[in-house]
Amino acid sequence: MTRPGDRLRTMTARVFSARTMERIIDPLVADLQIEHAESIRRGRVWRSRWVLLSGHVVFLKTIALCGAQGAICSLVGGTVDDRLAMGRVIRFTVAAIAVTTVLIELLSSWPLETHHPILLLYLAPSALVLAVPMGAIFGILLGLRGRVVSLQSTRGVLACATFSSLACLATMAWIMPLANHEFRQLASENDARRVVLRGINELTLGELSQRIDSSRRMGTVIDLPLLSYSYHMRWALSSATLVLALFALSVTRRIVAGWTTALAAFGACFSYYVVMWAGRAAALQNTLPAFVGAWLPNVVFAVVSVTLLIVASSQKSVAHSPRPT
Amino acid sequence: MLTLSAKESLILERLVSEREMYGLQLVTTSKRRLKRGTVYVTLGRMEEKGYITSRLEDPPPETGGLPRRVYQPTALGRRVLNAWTDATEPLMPEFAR
Repeated sequence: MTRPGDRLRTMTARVFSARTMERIIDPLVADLQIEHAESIRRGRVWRSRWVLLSGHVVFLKTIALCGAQGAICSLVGGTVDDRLAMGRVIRFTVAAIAVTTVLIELLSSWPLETHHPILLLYLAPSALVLAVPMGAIFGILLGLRGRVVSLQSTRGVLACATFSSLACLATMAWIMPLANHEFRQLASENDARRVVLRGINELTLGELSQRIDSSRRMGTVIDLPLLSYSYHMRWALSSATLVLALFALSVTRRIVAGWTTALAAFGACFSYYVVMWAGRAAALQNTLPAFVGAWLPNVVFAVVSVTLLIVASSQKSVAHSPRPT
Repeated sequence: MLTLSAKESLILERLVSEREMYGLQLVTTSKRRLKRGTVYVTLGRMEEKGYITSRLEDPPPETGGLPRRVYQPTALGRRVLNAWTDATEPLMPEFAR
C-alpha cells in the first residue's frame, strides 16, 4: 500500500543525500503519514484531506529549504571555510542583484510620462534577467576575492549559477513577454489611439519559434534576422550567469584589493555588453548567423575563462613539482 | 563558536521542559511560533551542532508508516540554553519576562 508522501520521498531520495533523507525528509514524512492515518482512523475525512494538502505544501517548502542549504552544505561539502565562502558569495550576489534591479528599473521608468507603481512590477522580469548575471559576477568576485577556491566551492558556485540560468531562461521564455506586454499596455493607457500589438519582446519562446517558421515559409525575410537573433539571444543571455560565474571563478585568485574587484566586475560586464552589441550588429546585418551573433559573448568569455583556469592549474603544478637538485 | 538562533532556543526550551518530542509535537505546542516547513530543517541543523539527539520510534501499529524520529536535548544543548538564558534575561524588559 502506498502511503502519503511515499512517492515524493522516493523521488527526493534520488536528489538528496542519505543524511538529509534520514534527518529531515523521513521525520517529516513519518509525521505526515501518522497524522493522516490518525485522521482517517477517527473518520475525519476533511481533516485527513487538509493534512494531506498542507503536508505536501510543507514537504515542498522543506525541499526548497534543503535545496538552498544543500547548495551550500551538500555541494560545498566539508570545511567550514567553504561554507562561509559560499554564504558570503550568496549574500553579496543577492545584494548586488537587488541594487542592479532597482537601478535598471529606475533608469527604464525615468523617461515615462506615467509613473504607475505597478509599472515597476512589470519591469522587474526584464530587469532581473540582466541583474542576475551582473549580480553573480559581483557577488562571486567580492565573496571569493584573493582566495584559492576549493573544488567544493567551485562546484557549489557553478550549481547555483546553473540554477540561476535555468530560472532566467524560464523568466525570459514565459514571464518576461507577458510582463512586457502588460507594461506597454499600462504605459500607453492615456493614449486614445492605442492599439498595443505584441512586439518581438512580448512573444514567448514558443511563439517566437512559430513566427520564425512562418516567416521562413512565407519568404518574408525582412524581420527574420531580428526574430532569429531575439530567439537565440534569450537562450544565450540566460546562460550568461553560468559563463560569467566561470569567468569570475577563473580570476578570483588574481584579485585581492576591493577596488580591483569592483573594477574587474564592471570591466567584465562592460566587455560582455560590447561583445554582445557587436554580435547583435553582425547578426542583424547578416554578417554572422543569428545563432553565432547571440552566443558570441558567451563563447568569448568561456574561452577566456577556460584559458585562465588552464594557466592557473599549470602554474600550480609547476609550483608543486619537485625542484631539480 | 557556539551559536543559538531564536528558533533553536525555543526548540531547546520545549525539549528541556518535555524531555522528548516529535517534530510535529514541537510545532503544535509552540503556539504557531514554529512552522512545519522549517522545523525539520532546524532540528537537523541542531542535531549536527550537537544540541539535540534523536532516536527512531516505531509507528503506532494502528496507523503504520515510517518510524518516527523523537528528539531529546543533549547536555551541550542544555548548557547552551542556560548560557543563552543567562545572557539574554538581563536584556529583557521587566514586562516581557
